[in-house]
Amino acid sequence: MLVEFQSVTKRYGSVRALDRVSLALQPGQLVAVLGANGAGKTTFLRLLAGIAAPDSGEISFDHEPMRREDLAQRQRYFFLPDFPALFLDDSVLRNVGLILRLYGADRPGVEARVVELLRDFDLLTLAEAPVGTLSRGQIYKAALTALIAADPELWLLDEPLASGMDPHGLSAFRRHTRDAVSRGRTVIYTTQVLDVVERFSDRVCLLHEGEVRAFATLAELRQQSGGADDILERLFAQLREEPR
Amino acid sequence: MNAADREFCRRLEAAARAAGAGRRAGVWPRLRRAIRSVGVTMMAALFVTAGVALGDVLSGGGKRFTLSLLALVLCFDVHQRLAKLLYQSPDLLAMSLLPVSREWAFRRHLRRGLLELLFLPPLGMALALVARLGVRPTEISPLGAAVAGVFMGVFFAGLGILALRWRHAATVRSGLWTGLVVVWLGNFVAPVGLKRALLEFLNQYGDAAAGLLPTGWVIGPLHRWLGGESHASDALWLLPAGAVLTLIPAVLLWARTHYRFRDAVLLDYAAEPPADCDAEDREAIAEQHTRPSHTGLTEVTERILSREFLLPASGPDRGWIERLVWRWWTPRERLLAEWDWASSPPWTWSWRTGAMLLAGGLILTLVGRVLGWLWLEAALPAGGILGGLACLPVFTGFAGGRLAIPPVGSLEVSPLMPYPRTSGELLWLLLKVSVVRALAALPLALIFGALAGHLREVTWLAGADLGLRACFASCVVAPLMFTARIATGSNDTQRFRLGTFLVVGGHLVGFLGAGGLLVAGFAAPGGWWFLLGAAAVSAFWSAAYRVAVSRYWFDLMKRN
Repeated sequence: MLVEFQSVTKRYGSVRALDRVSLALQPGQLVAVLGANGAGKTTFLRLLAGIAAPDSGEISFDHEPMRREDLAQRQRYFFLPDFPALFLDDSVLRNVGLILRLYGADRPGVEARVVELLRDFDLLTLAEAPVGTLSRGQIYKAALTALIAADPELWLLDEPLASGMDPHGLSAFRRHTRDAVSRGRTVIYTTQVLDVVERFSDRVCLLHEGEVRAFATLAELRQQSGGADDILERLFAQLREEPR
Repeated sequence: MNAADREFCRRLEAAARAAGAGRRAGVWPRLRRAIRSVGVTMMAALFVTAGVALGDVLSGGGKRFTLSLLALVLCFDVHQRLAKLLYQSPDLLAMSLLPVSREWAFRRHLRRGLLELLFLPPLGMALALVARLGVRPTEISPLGAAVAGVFMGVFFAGLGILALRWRHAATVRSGLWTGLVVVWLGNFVAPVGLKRALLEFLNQYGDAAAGLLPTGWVIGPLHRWLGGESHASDALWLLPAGAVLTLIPAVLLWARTHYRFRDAVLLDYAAEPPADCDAEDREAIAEQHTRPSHTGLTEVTERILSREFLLPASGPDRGWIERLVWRWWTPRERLLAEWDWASSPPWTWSWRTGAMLLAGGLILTLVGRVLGWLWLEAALPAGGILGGLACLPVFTGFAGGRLAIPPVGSLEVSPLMPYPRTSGELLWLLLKVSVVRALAALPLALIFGALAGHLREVTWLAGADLGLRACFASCVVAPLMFTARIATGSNDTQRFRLGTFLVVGGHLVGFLGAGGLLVAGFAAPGGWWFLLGAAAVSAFWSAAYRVAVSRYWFDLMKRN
């Protein structure tokens, strides 16, 4: 799915969360959205998920403008916020089942995929436990199970690396994400963990006070800065030193 | 308070401010908050305005009843604001992460709530008293007015606190507000004859009706005292009022001991309780996290592979209305219903309750006629209104459903988000519910209307026609209620741009226009034309609003 931002601006009152952002995300890319707190990362995802509305500019999917009432379009993306919206009284399995059906992803064979994912995320024994009895990391894993099994074209994940998942869960998440990207899925996630980004992204989108300061591969960024290994840390340091 | 305590409180305040930071980001936040705060008073003023217009015929019991009703609405509003502050405040997040006891958090929120809210009942009452009683302030002794004001303020705030113990309070509040707005609109459009008949009825039986409302136990004696017509028996009404006041400490104790903000909030944030958490909270959190299912792996795997979890629900196993609705829904609508109603909604139960209330109203009226107790005739409109509210889909079946994702911190997200469902398909789903429930209620409405028409010496046919209109009106309301539900979770009126003015204008025209036409549909000659007009306005505004939703005119989330 080709995702395009055309001069998108979003304000919250006097705060400019995104300022005239224009970029195009090609299909089959793993994009890490970076930035200090309040830089506009979550707003970026909320705009893509249709929760927030731009004040000006347009977002399009495959050259089609976003429409909230277009069910087929909405089934092409999945937004996983940092606190997943699951029903706490229902079991993990019922939540996953309902989400798969809402996405029209209850195709034959998905059940085996769900078993595989629950096993990978150490949730098989908890599959019939109410979501409300799980820890935060387990709840995130349950939502990830639904997302990966639904397999939409665009994955939008808010702070998955700070979701409370254990190292095994994080490793499974990275493996399945890489697999999805190799199948042409576009994955966009926000994070603050720079050393993971270096190994786990095709492209980096660096936001600062609502502006896109960099949208490039790590190799391109290194080339621009003369080959420094700690390029992301340097960029962050530079942004901090900028006069406000 | 020592220096350490002061430092701690300073940190707490800072953390609480951080948790609710988004609240300051809206357009003109202070102005908006101020408008929201005085919203109740404004409604009171509107109500009073209507009352002044009728002042020449409303007297005695009628005044006492309308005042008591208004005060009750204010009490429920106080309750709702208090409950929101206690259980949904964004500050709870900060408190859950800081070393504070449950009691401390409860007391802090309660104190804040009371400070914020206590001015509302006296203010509303002062407006109402001055405007409705026809008593000039100079005629009341300052000391007497102050004592009465304080007593009423405490009593009404107390009722708001008592409602914390009652889980249906929010539903009753919505019903009362709806009723109040309908009454207010009705004042302006009802024909003079009907209005006078209703007001004479109120003047005659208002005292009995006011006695049924807890607020009437205070307002009745006070009004008679101010009017110089009080007698010894009025003191008896202060006994139940005293009982209410003595119940407050017990309810506060219950609310404090059942205050479980920490485990609910911490579930979202950490599997481990903080070190300073008290023993009870620690136990509750630990229990939440150590309650996994111990089902064998093979069995679970087999169940998943059998695709049992992907099968559509088999439909409701009880309730004929639920089964009828289920049959009419498409497979996609059934899926949405599965999502939006965790369990079978109680529509048949509501129908039965409505039927009993309607029958009760008729029977009590007949008994009153036989025994010569004319005040029992108040049961006829009361049974009609309560029965109608119970069995007709006035609130479109949201109650008991989960058309909303619970707010996270200070952020409220629209029910449409975040999974793929459109407002169009949800509206159809709910319209089908409304139509089936209205058709199910039709025989009841026709029978009750015809008998009530006969009892009130109108005509059988006129009464039945009124019942038919009520059923039709409940379907007309559905799109508006749905639009209101979507709008509640959006920031459609918070941005400063052309689209916002169009939406605000649309809401005003849509809700007030359709509301006025609905009232006229019952009161004015040629009522069916007004009802059809209301249906057209309702359909047009809900369709226009859905276009605005689809085209990203506003966010489908808002900061509280």
